[in-house]
Amino acid sequence: MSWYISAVKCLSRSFKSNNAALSGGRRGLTRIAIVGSGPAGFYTAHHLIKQCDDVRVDIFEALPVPFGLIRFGVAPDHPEVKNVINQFTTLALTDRCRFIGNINIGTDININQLRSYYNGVVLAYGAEEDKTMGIKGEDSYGVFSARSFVSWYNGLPGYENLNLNLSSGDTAVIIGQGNVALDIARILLTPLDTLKETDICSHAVDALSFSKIKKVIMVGRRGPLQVAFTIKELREMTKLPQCKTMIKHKDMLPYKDIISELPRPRKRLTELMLKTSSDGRDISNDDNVLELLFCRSPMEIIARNEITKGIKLEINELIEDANGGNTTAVGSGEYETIDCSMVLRSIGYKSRNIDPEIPFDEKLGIINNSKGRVVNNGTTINGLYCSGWVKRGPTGVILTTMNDAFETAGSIIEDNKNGMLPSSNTARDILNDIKGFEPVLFEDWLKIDEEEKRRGELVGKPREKIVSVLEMLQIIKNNKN
Amino acid sequence: MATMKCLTRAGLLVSRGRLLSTLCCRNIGKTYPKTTSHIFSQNLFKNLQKFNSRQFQPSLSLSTDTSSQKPTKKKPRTVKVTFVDRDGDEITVDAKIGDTLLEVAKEYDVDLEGACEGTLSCSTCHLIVDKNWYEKIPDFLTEEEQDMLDLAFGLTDTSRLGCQIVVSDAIDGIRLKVPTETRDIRNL
Ligand SMILES: Cc1cc2nc3c(=O)[nH]c(=O)nc-3n(C[C@H](O)[C@H](O)[C@H](O)COP(=O)(O)OP(=O)(O)OC[C@H]3O[C@@H](n4cnc5c(N)ncnc54)[C@H](O)[C@@H]3O)c2cc1C
Ligand code: FES
Repeated sequence: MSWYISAVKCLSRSFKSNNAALSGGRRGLTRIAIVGSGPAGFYTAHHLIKQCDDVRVDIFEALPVPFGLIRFGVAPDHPEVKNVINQFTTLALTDRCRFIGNINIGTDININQLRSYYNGVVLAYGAEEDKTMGIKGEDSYGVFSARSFVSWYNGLPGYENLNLNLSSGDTAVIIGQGNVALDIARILLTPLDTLKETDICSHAVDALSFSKIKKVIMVGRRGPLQVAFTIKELREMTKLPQCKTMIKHKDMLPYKDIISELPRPRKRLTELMLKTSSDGRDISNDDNVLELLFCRSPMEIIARNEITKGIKLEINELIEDANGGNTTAVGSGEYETIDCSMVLRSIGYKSRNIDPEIPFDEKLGIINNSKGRVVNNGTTINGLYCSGWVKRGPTGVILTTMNDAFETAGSIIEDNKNGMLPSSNTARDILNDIKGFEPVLFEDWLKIDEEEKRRGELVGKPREKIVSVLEMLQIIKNNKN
Repeated sequence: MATMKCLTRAGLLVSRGRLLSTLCCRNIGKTYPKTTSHIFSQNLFKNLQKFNSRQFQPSLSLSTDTSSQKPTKKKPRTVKVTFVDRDGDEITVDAKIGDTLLEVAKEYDVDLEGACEGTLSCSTCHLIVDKNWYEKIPDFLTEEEQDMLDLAFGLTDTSRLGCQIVVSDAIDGIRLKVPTETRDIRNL
């Protein structure tokens, strides 16, 4: 038989049995539930399924749509990064992995209920909140979190009506110097015609067409050697049309002679910053500008009638600790104020505890764990694991999350071999018992996906995301009728 | 000592972009189907949708190019490539000229990811080239590849990205290691 016919056969086999997979009755299978369908969830499933023949995985997701921050975080002008979705899709279409969306774990089903259906539960629910600066005036209109801004342009349900004041001034200040901060700066400064061709939401394009923001200032607490963004993202910024990246030459000069001693990634990044730096004289009035400002901490939002007018910053001095390892910023007692109409805080995402049963470290914002095994007061909870941002904290790229997910999957495989996984109390399929809810399966998501692509095609973009959960569910219903 | 795994071609005539659909029938049960190619995934979608709506016709191929399915077509030329996997095992394979090393790794089920599908946006395809082979690779190490490599874990002086090296006669016999390091120990 030709290879393609058997390929089709095996695909159809996986597709047909997709719904039946994991359902009760089957003996000898290790059944794992994963909470969260971002890269941590999918990569944990990927590793488990690849390494063990007898594992079946259900991936639970609060939203009707999969992929977490790949869909709702990764910038619309970085479509290549999202290619990983194809791999996850192939996995979800096999009969060993099932996507169960629109079920919120902790609210619709609690962890103990979930655990009773499975031998193991992996918490991979990411980081849904953000850190605040804790400064005076932070509640003023015009101050937004990076997370809400990103969720707005990427179409996370509930953020489509975020009332941004893009036309009330020409300067925005971003607190933070990581890749998320650069994403936001790029979205604010990229020519609209370029953005229009991406999967950015049309409500964002409409609002950005009224934007007056011409200058974005990215503020870091520490110096040029401590920036958190990576070289690819900075290089992209320096190549953005009609936009200048402004790094003050005098800020870079002190590091000129030590660059060669830095480890390669930091060395190349610092070299690029030095090369980009200038005295600013080449910037014309027509240019959009991204400025990097170092050694400043936010002190207060200057507001009039609760509307942002500026931000007060304290100038910091950098102190290197004795062994030269860690550099800390110490306030100098000198201040400066920058006029701006918008402040975006991009100082980190934060995980929350979704169930009181989970031993959550509120201070670190992660689940207590050892190599992904959830640990409560020094004792490992058999059969409970965590993976991704909720395990390690909200930093790192997909690669970091992938390695982290593989580590957790490795722990599960080891525990399974050693007979450490609890047996599940029931042989029932959880889908039969969650009747009151409207679980969205992967084939349902494919309908939403198809509709989004169709709508995108009409306006010349890869997809037009649907931002209303109700509308998503309606599309699924319409397709079933 | 490292054991020697020697894999030979499954006797199937497949070319770039289609090889993963082959994998999915060869390895079903052991591993699940993977894609590295847009073309493949698009076709996969189309076919699955067709199947779903019960209009599926078995004569439809998953591939756009049916010519290579004719048994008369000449077998593509190959060279030997050796991967050392995470367990230290050596896997020597016949790599098709013109494929990238990422595609070769995928074809032979070597544990190497390719999250961005070869678009220089992820560095999950990081490979460490044997020192005496590094200079012999004709594919130029671009600034963009270096930028991406800077994010790789366990970066070495002979690190390259698997998706950027195309198999050619010049690298017949090359030996590459899949890095074992999975933690970012750098201060970046
Ligand atoms: C703005 C932004 C841009 C980024 N850009 C890039 C990039 O270009 N390249 C790159 O490599 N990395 C990028 N990253 C990093 C990358 O997105 C993360 O490494 C990765 O997404 C973390 O994966 P995760 O699965 O732990 O979390 P998430 O991706 O957040 O996934 C968690 C999932 O769990 C779901 N969930 C939450 N609570 C519940 C619940 N109670 N029940 C059920 N499900 C729940 C969420 O809806 C979500 O789908 C970016 C991150 C951000 C924030
Ligand atoms: S596959 Fe992503 S960089 Fe090679």
